[in-house]
Amino acid sequence: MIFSLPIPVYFLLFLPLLFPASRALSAKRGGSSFWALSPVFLFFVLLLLLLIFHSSCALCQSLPREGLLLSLALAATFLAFFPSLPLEERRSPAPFIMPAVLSLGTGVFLQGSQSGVLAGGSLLALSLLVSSLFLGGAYPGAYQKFFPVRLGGAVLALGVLSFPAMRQSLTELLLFLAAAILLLLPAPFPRRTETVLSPGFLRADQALFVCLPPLLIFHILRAIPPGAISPPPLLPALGILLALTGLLYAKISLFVEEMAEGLTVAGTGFLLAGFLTFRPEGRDGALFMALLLPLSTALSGLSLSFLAQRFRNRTFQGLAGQGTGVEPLRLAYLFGAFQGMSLPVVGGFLGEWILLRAVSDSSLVLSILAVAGIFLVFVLVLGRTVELFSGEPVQRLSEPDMHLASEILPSEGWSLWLASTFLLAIDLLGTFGLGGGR
Amino acid sequence: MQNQLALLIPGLPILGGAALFVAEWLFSGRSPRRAFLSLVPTVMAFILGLWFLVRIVSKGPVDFGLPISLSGLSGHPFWELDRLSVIMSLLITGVSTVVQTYSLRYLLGEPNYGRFFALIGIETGVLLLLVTSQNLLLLFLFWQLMSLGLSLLMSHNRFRTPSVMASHKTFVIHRLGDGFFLVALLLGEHLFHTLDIGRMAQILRDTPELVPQGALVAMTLCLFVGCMAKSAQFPLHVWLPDTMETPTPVSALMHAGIVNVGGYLMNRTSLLFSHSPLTMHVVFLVGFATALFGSSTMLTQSDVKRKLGFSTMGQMGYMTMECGLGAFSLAVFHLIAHGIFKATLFLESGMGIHIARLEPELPKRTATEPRTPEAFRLSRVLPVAFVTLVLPLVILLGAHQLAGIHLSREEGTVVFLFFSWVTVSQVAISLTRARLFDSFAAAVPWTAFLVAFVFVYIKAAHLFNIFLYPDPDTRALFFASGGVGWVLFTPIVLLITILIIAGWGVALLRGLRGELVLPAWLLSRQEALYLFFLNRGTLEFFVLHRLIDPVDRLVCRLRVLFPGRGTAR
Repeated sequence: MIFSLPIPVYFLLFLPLLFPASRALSAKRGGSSFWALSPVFLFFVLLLLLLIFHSSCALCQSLPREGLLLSLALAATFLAFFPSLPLEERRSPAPFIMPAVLSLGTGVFLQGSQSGVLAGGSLLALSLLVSSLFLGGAYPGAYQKFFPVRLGGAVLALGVLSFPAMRQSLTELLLFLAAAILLLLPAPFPRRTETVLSPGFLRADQALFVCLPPLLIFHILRAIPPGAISPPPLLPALGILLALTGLLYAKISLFVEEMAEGLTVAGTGFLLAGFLTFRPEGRDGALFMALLLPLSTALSGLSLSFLAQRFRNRTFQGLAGQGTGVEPLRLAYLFGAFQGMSLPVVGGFLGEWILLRAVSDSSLVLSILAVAGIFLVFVLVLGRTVELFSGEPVQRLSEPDMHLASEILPSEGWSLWLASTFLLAIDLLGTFGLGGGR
Repeated sequence: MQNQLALLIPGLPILGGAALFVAEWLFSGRSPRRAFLSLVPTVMAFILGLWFLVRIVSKGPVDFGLPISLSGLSGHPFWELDRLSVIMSLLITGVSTVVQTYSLRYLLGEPNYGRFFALIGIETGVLLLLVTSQNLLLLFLFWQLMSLGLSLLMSHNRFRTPSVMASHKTFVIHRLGDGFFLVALLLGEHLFHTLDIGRMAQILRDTPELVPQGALVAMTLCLFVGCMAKSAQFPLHVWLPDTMETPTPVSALMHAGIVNVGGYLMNRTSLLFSHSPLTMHVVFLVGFATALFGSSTMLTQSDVKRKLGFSTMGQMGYMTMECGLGAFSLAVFHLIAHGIFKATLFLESGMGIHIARLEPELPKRTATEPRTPEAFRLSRVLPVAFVTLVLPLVILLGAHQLAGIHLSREEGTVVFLFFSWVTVSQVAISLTRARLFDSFAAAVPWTAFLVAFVFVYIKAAHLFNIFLYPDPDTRALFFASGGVGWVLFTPIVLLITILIIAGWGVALLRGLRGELVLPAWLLSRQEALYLFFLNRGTLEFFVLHRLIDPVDRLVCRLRVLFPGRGTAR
């Protein structure tokens, strides 16, 4: 369990908890994002060092590389969202919950044993539940009443199934998987009432319930050792089905956030399909996708969110062509979207390829279905990209207003840079290191 | 033999393009001279390609690589310069050089001038990495990157909706082909346990019985659909006509270089194709349909660039037919020739359009005098038949004999003989109309010229075949797999001969009577046929209204059932 970690690791885990203090201190001095975030930055740098020196340092070797990568992705996702929160929002208690989630989740991520992983999954699910209650408290009426109950059910199911004695048979395994998907489903699918449209709330909500689920799902699933069971050949079909559901949800969405949520579910479906083959390649591919998805969603989600904020509109129809003149947002969105479109240069293509190989080993028909799904995701994302970031804008702004709209605020710039840099780092790590070493 | 210097061929244009991107980003102001950052490395890559061509012919293929390993990639070398790839590299760098030189003035003053050159430089490098890849996965990676680069080039002016929509359509169709390519890769992994092209070829050569025929056919068919999308084969050609909305240099680059990659892939994987005869027949039929459709549609278009676009489609059809018949090298020969002449035509058309825009008035039409129909006299028809029908066939048969090509051995060569017959016959008809066969003194030099031209062309194609595929067994295997057997082939030959003679007869009667002489039922459909081709076979109408509309209606119904969360704010 978590108590068996080396002492220096506890100091590392403690760092993000300093964020509230650093935030308060920097607010007194004028509110610089950089200084407020310095403990989290330090945390990230130390994680990266542990990863780089993994093979040569005893402390690093005591931590699983996979766990370090997941922690890194988690840290990066949250870091990307922090600077973009408007100043007045920082006074709300909502952002305080994030470092707690970060450190708690990271702590258990680092623990590689099965019981630790399961406990970590349950704890992270619990943190999600607490976060939803916290955000619901900070923004009354923001969430549907049933949402915390659904999350509570998932936490309970996972908590019960965390006991090692419960995972002996295939039935129990399937129960466990059902619980894992139960955890996912309440998160990205409809949960908000739309009475609160504060940018701070929307971003915190996106970070917690859209970016986090793929990481969580992978984390929970990795409790099952590779090759431990021989699954039925059509088990990956569950993942494909989930992917197609997400895709359909994204297709019928009218709001930009809804599409991002649908695509995350689709991506998580592919991840699941790979993992459920229970082959080493499927696990590799799923890990890669679990690392990439949160960051790509964060990057494209942030870009869309900044665009929506500028033009006071959240529908595709209202934002058509508005992104054409805002070059930095366009570039950031494209970089994130290429990931979802499985195009090369970014790692999405290789991640999908490793996944597809695993699925095709299990069933060729399923792999063809998965390829069709990838194509449909591409068509959908490209169509929306063209709609928002090309052509004539649906409503022309005056020259001074357009000038203002095309400028990027420092906090926005920070967020986009952070998300892009981390995404690139994960891409490179995954492309040149992840599969090669196995 | 390894030579890391070869890395400079794709590396130079990529570095040049990247440097130009950085220069555009770092330094404000527009300087046309920055375009040379992309142009000069491309020229250097071309010169280096020439040097490697000489070296490869004398010392054999050269491989090169990067000091990295990618997950999921196996087999070495990843990149190799052999005869095929060096020829393709020369074509790519050559066309890119011409296009960039032309664009220096043509695009001067346009917004994002530097970005355009940077993109062309990088796209050139990507194409070079594609043609030198020796692993199907790596090739697929650059195959996709090429589509991305093309899409960015096409939507160069992202404020212009038609360009953006054309780019969108192109990218979607290309990705559809990519999906099939991806399935082919998965099948390849199952069949060969490797995606290294050399290793796959070796398995097929040494132990072909270990590879199930059905799976190989499925794999090659999927590969071919990938090629169809890129090379605008019917019915995946719908993106090509819309690309005329893009800047002329992009059209030139696309029609002279990028559409050829389908033919290149079929050549690179020719051993896979030649071991699945069923695929070869499908390739031939698709190529035939494309050539027929592209050439017919071209005749009905009034826009000069659109005409050229459909002409490209027709030529790509011919190229695919050549592959289907087993004449893989001829397809490369064809695509090189086509690349050169199509780039010239496109760049010229850009200038032509520019001059036409400056001209305030349309050119005046000259009235044509009505012709008096001639009577059908055998003494008038026989000399014409000899000059325009028999003489071309005699010249072709003689040229084949002189070049050492035996028609009785290869079915594919006979099919090409028919195409050549029609082409040379058309040339002869043109010469007759120009009254160049009226006197004996004029006819002799023209016939000699025709004989020399046909012989040089056939001999060059034959030598190129030997250059590209030196092994006679491989060449024989290609032609054998493209054949259908003499029992089936003989009636086909007879049918084609009758069709050619009938076509010649119709043309002759039209010349004599001054009007088209066809059965009434066929003439009554002439207008409908014209409209059919004018509207590009109404294929897009069918796709939009029969396939996409129901999906859209379903999505709308789902939106009503699941109305989202609240209203737009």
